[in-house]
Amino acid sequence: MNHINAIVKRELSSYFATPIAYVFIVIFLIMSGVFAFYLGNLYERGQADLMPFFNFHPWLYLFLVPAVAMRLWSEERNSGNIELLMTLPVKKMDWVLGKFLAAWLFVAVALVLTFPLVISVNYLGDPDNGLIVASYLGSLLLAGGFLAIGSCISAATKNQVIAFILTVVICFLFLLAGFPMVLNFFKAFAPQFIVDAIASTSFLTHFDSITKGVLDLGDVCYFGIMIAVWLYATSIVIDIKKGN
Amino acid sequence: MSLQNHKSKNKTKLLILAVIFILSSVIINQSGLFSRLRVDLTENDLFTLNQGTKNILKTIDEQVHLRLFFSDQATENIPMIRTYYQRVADFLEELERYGNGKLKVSIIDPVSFSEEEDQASQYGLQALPVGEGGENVFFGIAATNALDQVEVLPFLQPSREAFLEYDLAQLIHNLNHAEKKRIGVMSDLPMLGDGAPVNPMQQQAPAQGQIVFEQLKETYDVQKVATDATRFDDIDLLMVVHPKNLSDATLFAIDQFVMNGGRLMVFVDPMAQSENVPADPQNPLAQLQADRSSNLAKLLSQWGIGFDPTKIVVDAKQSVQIQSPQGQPIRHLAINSWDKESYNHEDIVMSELSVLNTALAGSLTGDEERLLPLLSSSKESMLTDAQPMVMLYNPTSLLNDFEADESTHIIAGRLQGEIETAFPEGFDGQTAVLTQAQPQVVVVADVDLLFDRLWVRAQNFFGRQVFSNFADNGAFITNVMDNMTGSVDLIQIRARGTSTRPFDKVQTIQRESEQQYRETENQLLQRLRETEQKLNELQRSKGQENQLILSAEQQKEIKRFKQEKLTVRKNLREVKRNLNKDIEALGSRLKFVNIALIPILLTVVVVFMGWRRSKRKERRYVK
Repeated sequence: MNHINAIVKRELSSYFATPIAYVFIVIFLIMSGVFAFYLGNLYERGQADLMPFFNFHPWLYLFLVPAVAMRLWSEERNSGNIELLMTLPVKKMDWVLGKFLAAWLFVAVALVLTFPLVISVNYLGDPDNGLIVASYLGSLLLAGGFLAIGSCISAATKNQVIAFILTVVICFLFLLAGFPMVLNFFKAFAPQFIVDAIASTSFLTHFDSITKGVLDLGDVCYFGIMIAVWLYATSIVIDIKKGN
Repeated sequence: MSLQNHKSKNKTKLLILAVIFILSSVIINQSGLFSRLRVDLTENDLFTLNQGTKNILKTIDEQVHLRLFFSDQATENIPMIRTYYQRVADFLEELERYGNGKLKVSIIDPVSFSEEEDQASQYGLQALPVGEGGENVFFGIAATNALDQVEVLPFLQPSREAFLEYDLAQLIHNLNHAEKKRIGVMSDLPMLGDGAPVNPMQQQAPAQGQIVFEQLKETYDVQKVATDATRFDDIDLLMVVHPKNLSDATLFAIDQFVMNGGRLMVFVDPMAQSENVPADPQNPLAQLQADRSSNLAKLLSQWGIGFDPTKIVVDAKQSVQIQSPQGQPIRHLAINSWDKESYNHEDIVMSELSVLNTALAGSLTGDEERLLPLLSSSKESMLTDAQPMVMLYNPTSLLNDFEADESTHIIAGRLQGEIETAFPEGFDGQTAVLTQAQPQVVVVADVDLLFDRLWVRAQNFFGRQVFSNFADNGAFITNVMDNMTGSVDLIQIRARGTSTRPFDKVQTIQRESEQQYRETENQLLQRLRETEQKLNELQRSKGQENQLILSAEQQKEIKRFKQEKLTVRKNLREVKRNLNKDIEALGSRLKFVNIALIPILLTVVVVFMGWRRSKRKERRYVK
């Protein structure tokens, strides 16, 4: 536990040592605001909720989270640092968890900085704040899922750009699973239960149901398993790549 | 162990992980086991069963069988419907849990050309053709009881999710109480179609029944009740329409009907246009001057509801356009077309209505805890005397005298909270029940809304009567009836969820600026009128004096007036343009705060910290 704490601190401070972290946060804030107000018409539709804001989160994360995740491991591998890390008396899983948690905390900070929106809708009307809290939780879980995928992909390649692109593609597929195009593609050759299985792995269905305001054990478990599986996969991938 | 071996072992591990992930997410999604445990974070507990629903489920006598028909295959590509299906299925499961074994739920997939599909059609479920193949999608509920009576929800619209609980509870309740409810209509107005002609002298055909009642007769046993009746023994709901000078004996009977838990719906009116006062050849004015108001003052005032039968509501926002005697379209402020903004969205009886029309409606008053509004005017309304309306030939005068009093006036409302009898000493030797903790009373301050001409046209279509409605008055009455003849438990269940949460702030600004606009407009119009009048006078005086040449002074004056007229017109346009300025300004401010403020602050912080760091480095270097 202590190890993880230390790793999280080290990683987080390394984020803020360069201006890139700030650039990321600024881009996230501006984009989420622009999407909510100009594409989602948050003000014009006159409803005191944050639906137009949260609806765009999956698509915002699709590009921003892989950008955070891409440097998690590829940088260490590229610089050869990883060999050093692995010789330290720290469990591999601690590294994986620590790096992931740091990145997740970082995204959480960006998310928290959207607080003016909550104040705005409370100023304008009488929103359902329970629903807003649930939506923030859903959004954070979604970001966690994306990050876990990104972490695994980042461990698999030395090249950050490749890691970024691959992560975007995989996250995109997870978003789309459950959408007609993807399902039709699989339906051509796979039996129905496979199609159903693919549909139930979609990020969107779970995210949507949390943003409705109910924290369902099923949805939380889905994200929990999603994160756990990809993080464990990260440690296996590191193992596989160690020899190379 | 060789490296190769280790690697392949790791690869197997990855594969197992993938399988675990897919399996677990399928199990989570499809089993429904996990959705049992949930925390409802919404403010109104949208996803928790209402006590009323639980009570209804507890009191099921004989088995009720709910069949949810859902076309699994045909909806594969419609995630929205599938998500809602999941929600409905979860909800039915929840209902089944509270049903103590008396409620059976089964889910049926009516595949094309199957027996199940025929069954769904037989129950009257709606089939929507979707997809490329035009496959039929069924997504409805058919419920039966032990007597094989059927109640159906033809298609579950995702947009009606907020009322899902009410719809299902009502369905179960109806099956549990299958006998036809009896509605008694107490009125002198010819509404039921069985009344004699109002004036026997005129030899007109018997009055046609109003369509509202024709529709009610399909589901209810509708009976006429004499206005001097003193017993309402087997009546479930009493509808008192346009009551005038009811005897104390009848009032006592109505009072006790309510005290004993009877359901009452009252329609009073300051000026019922539908009241047909016979013409008196001796006194032609009598018809005009006749009192067309009604009241139930003795009971209503005791129950805490005020109604002034001499005042009508005029509303500038929700008024109807009619043709003036000159043929131009003008607004009639006392004939109103109420849209969603005027409804109490939380009350189930107002759901799914879009327009309600009333004519010369009155206003109800009462404490907040006493009178729950169903329909209220906008804030751009006021009360005005009812009597002049009889002679009102040009409704523009209403517009001229209009000055909004900035408060909403309740036109229809529901009585709530404990009430006391108006006859504490009893009547004529009969003792009275003194209080009723949960009175079931709805009061509407307009009688005309029951009449066809305000909401529906009947057309003859190849010998068949076809109704086309332009307002939802009929649906409103049916909603109230369905709701009130149901159990108290059913009435408890209110719509929830998607109820709107408007930007109050923006609406306030809008109202204020409209108010301001109207004031300025009035002032400017006044000035314009004065100017025009002066101009006319000047020109007329010129004509009278019959002088061809104007004095220089007169010319100057005319020029000045024309100039002023132009300025006033310009100002008026300006004011109109500025109407939305404040709202737009607030929007821009909010957009700036939410999009740019934090990024700017962050940048400032980062630049400042960078500057400090470089300073520190510099200092170190100097040392």
